[in-house]
Amino acid sequence: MYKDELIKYYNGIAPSDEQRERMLKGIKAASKKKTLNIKNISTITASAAACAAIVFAVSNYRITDNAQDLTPVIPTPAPTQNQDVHGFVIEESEDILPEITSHPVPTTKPFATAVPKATQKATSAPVKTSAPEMKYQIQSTSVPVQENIAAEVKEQKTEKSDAVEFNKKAITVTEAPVNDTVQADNEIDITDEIVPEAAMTVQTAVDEMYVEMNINHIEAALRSTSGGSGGGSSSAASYKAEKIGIDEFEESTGIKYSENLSVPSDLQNNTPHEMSGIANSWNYIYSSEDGERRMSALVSKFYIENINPENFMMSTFGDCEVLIKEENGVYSAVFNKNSISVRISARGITEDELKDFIVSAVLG
Amino acid sequence: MDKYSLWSNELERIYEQYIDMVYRICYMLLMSCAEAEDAAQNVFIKLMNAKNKPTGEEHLKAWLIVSAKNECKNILKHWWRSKRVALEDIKEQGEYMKESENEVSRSVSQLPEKYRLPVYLYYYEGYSTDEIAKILDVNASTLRTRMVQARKMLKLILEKEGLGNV
Repeated sequence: MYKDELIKYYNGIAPSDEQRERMLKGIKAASKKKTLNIKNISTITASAAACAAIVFAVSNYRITDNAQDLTPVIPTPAPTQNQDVHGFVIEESEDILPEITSHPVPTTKPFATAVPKATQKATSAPVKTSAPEMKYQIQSTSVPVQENIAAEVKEQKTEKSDAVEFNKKAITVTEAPVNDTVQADNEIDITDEIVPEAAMTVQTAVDEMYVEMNINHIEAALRSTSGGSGGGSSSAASYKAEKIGIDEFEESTGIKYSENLSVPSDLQNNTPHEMSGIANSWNYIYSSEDGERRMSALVSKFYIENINPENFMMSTFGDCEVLIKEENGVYSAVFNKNSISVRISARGITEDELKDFIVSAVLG
Repeated sequence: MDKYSLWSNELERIYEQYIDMVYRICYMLLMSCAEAEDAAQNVFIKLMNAKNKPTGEEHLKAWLIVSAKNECKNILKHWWRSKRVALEDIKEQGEYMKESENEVSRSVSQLPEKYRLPVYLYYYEGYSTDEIAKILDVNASTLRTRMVQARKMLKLILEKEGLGNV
């Protein structure tokens, strides 16, 4: 075995004498650091505020030939695209974003705190017709991504008797900014690489779980690079896999593509979100050979801020809040991690197995 | 009197005894000499400032391992790290790396971060999987699975590099 080689390698990693001395010096220096007096902080803050006020005042006054005439120059804000030259707000027509104006966005607590990082940055972006942060409800059909969700809701309404209850579900989806201009202006570091990287973390966790569960058959793993047009998950998913090319798909995921791709309806109905056809998402579907134990993990750049918390139990794993529900033996779990959202649906596994998986996926 | 002089004898003993281990862990997770040095130093500063100091040798060792891991995680997720290329990636590694540069070192560095520490603790520090699971606060079966995966990956990498006999 390579144990001896490993030990040899580890033996080789050691700080030099110079490094040891330097580190010890650093520790000694750190011990002598004095903490800043709180009174000093307030003095410094007050001085800084005074300086800022002076600079602001000076920069807004123009000295003219007449020394008496110190005219304050009040900067006029440039009209945004929603304003005319007089600053009046131009109302958007209802057919552009009907849901925003007609339905209030639910104000219940978002379940993850880590997610708004990118969203907060995006709000400081210059006003554009396609604003980087968009909040809308699932009934909206104005945005391509929403079409899928809306389609799913319609299906639920017709198929289930508790359509009214389902209709109460208010899912707020915040689209991660992908606009190049926004990225350049605000240094938003969300790139396409994030999703595959995060997806690999989840994939590894799923792999581990399936090693433990003695499930060795991977049915399919999909990558969707653009929003789909809705419809059945099975066909949409196959289409996505074929669209990027099976070779590319296999190369990028490292998983063999299966032609017999199908997502059971019970999994589809119990996932808190559409399983496929979401832009910039990765979808992993795993199954035992007999189909008894199945699991799917969808990783996407869409943050779910609020998914009907009444039906889900919230569990905390590390600093990540995970929503879990169980219905007819099918578990659903949703969480946000590192600017992406992960949605899991699993059947034929125990709650402990699911939690083990989430621990691996969340805490790495 | 500063914190160091209050605890200097004990801290120096701990430093001498564990600096290699802490540095190794930091290096393995960060794969950068300079960052490993910073991280290792911070671990001992944390120990010096800790209100509840670890009691007993085993507790101390476990405390240092976990602190080193956490320190590295903090460095890894820092925005600064994602925006730059380490000098080591461009130039060659330090002196000691030249000596130990072999297939195994390259394959260990190719392992995902979460596998590197368990492999090190198991093979070098001699901890059992249950002990490692307790130290790293992960499920024992998850850890065993990680070990299996790590061995598989090492095997694959070594085979790829022409060292099939593993």
